[in-house]
Amino acid sequence: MRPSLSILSMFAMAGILCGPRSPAVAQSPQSPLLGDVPSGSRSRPVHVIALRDENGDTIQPGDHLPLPFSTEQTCGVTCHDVKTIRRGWHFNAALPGVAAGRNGEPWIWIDAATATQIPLSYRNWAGTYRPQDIGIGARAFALRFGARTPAPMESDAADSPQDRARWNVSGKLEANCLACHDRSPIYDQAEFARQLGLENFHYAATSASGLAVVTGSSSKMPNQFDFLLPGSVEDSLQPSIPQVHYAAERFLAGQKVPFDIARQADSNRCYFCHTEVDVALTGKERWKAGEDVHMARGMACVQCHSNGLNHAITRNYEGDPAAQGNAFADSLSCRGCHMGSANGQQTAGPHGLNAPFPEHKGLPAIHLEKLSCTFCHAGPMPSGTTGRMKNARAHGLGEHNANLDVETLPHIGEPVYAQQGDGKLAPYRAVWPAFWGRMIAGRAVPLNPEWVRRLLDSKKLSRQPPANGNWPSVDVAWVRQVLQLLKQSAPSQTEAVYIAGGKLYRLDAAGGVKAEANAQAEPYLWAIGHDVRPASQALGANGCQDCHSKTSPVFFGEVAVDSPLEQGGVWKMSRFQPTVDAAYQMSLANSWKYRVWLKVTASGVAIILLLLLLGGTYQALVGLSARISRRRRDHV
Amino acid sequence: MYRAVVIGVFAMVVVLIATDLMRRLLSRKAQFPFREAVRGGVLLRLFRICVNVAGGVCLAAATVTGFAAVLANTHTLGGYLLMAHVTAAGGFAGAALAVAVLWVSRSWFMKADWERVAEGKKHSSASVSLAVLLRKSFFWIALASAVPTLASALLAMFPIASPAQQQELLQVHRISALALVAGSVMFAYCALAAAWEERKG
Repeated sequence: MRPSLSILSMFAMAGILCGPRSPAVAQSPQSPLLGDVPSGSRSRPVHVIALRDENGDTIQPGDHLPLPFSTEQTCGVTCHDVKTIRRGWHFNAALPGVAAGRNGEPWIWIDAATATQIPLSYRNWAGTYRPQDIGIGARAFALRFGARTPAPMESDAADSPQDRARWNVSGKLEANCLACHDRSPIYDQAEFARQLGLENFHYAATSASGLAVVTGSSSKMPNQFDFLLPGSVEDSLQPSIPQVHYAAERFLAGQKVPFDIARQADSNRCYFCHTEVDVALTGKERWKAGEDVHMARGMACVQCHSNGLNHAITRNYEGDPAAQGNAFADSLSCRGCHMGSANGQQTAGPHGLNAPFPEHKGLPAIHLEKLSCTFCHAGPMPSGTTGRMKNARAHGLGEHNANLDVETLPHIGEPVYAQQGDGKLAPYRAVWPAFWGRMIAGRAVPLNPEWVRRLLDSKKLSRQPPANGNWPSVDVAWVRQVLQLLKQSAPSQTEAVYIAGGKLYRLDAAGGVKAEANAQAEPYLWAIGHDVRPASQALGANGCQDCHSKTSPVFFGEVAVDSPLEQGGVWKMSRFQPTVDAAYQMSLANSWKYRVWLKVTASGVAIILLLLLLGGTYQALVGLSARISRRRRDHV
Repeated sequence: MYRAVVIGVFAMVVVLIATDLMRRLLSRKAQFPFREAVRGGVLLRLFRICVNVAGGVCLAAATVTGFAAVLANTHTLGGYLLMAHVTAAGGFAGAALAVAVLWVSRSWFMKADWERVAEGKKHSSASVSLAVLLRKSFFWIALASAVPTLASALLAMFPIASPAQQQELLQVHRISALALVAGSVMFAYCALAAAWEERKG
């Protein structure tokens, strides 16, 4: 039961004056909580629980101006160790000391009007930029990407004073347990995204849950608005004040609410953020599209991407820090599950999935040393030039009003066959960075894209992107104009540059623009894990010449360069394979046509030699027999 | 382990040949003519020589490319060296067939050969010479080694064996190829020695 609003408001006012509000769930409990101690039962625990607001007070359907429920309080106050969970993979990107692991999918900041496309990550992934390092505060990040992460977010040092004030208006984003664990058919993550667009951070999970309807918009509230004191705004804004209207019929006796909570997240929940689709299939009927072979066989994401209470979800590549020293987690990689991690013959891990052992008949063993499993089995089948894909996080798939055009930014290319850290070749996705920056200590440091946008808007240099969400029409002359503008607005003598399409553009002495190669302009790559293709659809299913031919896309294909300035550019695939000898691969491909002859000739020779051997054996036996017969006669 | 065996076998072949060569040089005090006394016309003899030389060259090429990685103690045979090995081996397969066909009629183990085996050191001057007996023996050893050498490589080219089974085939290939090389070299030497003895006789 919540105390009356007036009393609460007094305490809340005191809180505002004294410092930031501190949630009740702050420390890990001394002993395991109720929901964190498995009983051993395989049945799903029933979750009929009281809703709690951020202060831990229970919510009743009849409350006057009720607050949205807090997921961290509702789930964490007596049942689950939220503090431990908040250190899990989906929540720990910004925490210090967390192993980044191999490069993963970045958040991609798009501003078509300034021809900007920057891969961002709070993790230390080479090729991405930390949001706070380029002036993107937590609030801007949350507004752009908050709908696609269950991670909590609150004000950080990169937030402007204005943004810090707005956090008090919108409320913070809590860890959203329901995003993964709510199996209710009415839980709607797209509604969560819509609420974020209205800046209703505080209300998003409540609205998405379907337990309540949220009206109003924090975006319309002034900076001094406090949701605990809604009456403080002027009359014209009263209709826009965010309000929660709980569905009374959802409350059972005892003022508790039934949740359809599952320990193992439903794949449908994963897909909201992790859908990946070829652009050619965007807007097409899904029944014609393929699916990951594991999913087609009835498996769920969490059967491989698993975790304990710490929510350190396994990423299942070989060398995953989450699997270090954990034989069970290690067995969840492709090789671990299908080939066994101990003797190469064990096909069933402790999870009992009994994954089929790959026969790989006719495949020389060196392929298993030089290639990742995904090289042949994951991502789209390659063609001469890389294609494009869309994914949920970058393109807002599944959200209301997402631009479904195939040209919508960001442009993500695939598959790029590049070398992993361990030297194996693997398929990757690629995004080409495009941003304005300044050269500092030999590196191009991206400028805050929002600041660039404001600057270009003020000088009418920003470009109107087309309706399909593609790059706007820009050219090198425009780049020169913007570079000159940035030069004039520079606080120091640092040089302004533009990176796009694999090149770095800078002003030359004559005032023109010169383009040059630059490592920072190279595409950011992250490994393709899905969709996994079965053996019949893998590379090599049509024979060795899937890869060993003069036109093989994996060695001699082209990677389409994405640039707002130049269309149709390509890089050779070999640029991403530094230790692969392209000349040798071409020689091998050229020699392949003789392989049939070699097989036929060698088979014929082997057969004739075998016949000669049999003949010789026969002749030797005849001779030996004659010799023995003669000795007997002599003896007689 | 395999590298040590290869070095041991090669060393043994060299020592055997060198010892026999020294023995012959010291006892005869003359150079070997090293010319086989073959029957037939000039063209046929020329053809035989060409086939034998081609077989020897292809064997040398396949041997060098095949055992280079082993002797250099590198991890595996791969890259251009493997390509060269397969090319040389393809040539060797053809040449080996020709050599086998040319030599098989003179390599049958007849009653006289078994008698020579039974006689041991007490052989009479009328019986088959040791060089011929050894030549025949090494011919069949080489032939018997050539079949698994070829078959193991061939099987690996077809979608029959798994990577693990291919590794086993590779082991078969490596062992039988070693026997093939040793047998072929000894066969060649014994053929030359027998030819010399035949000519002298």
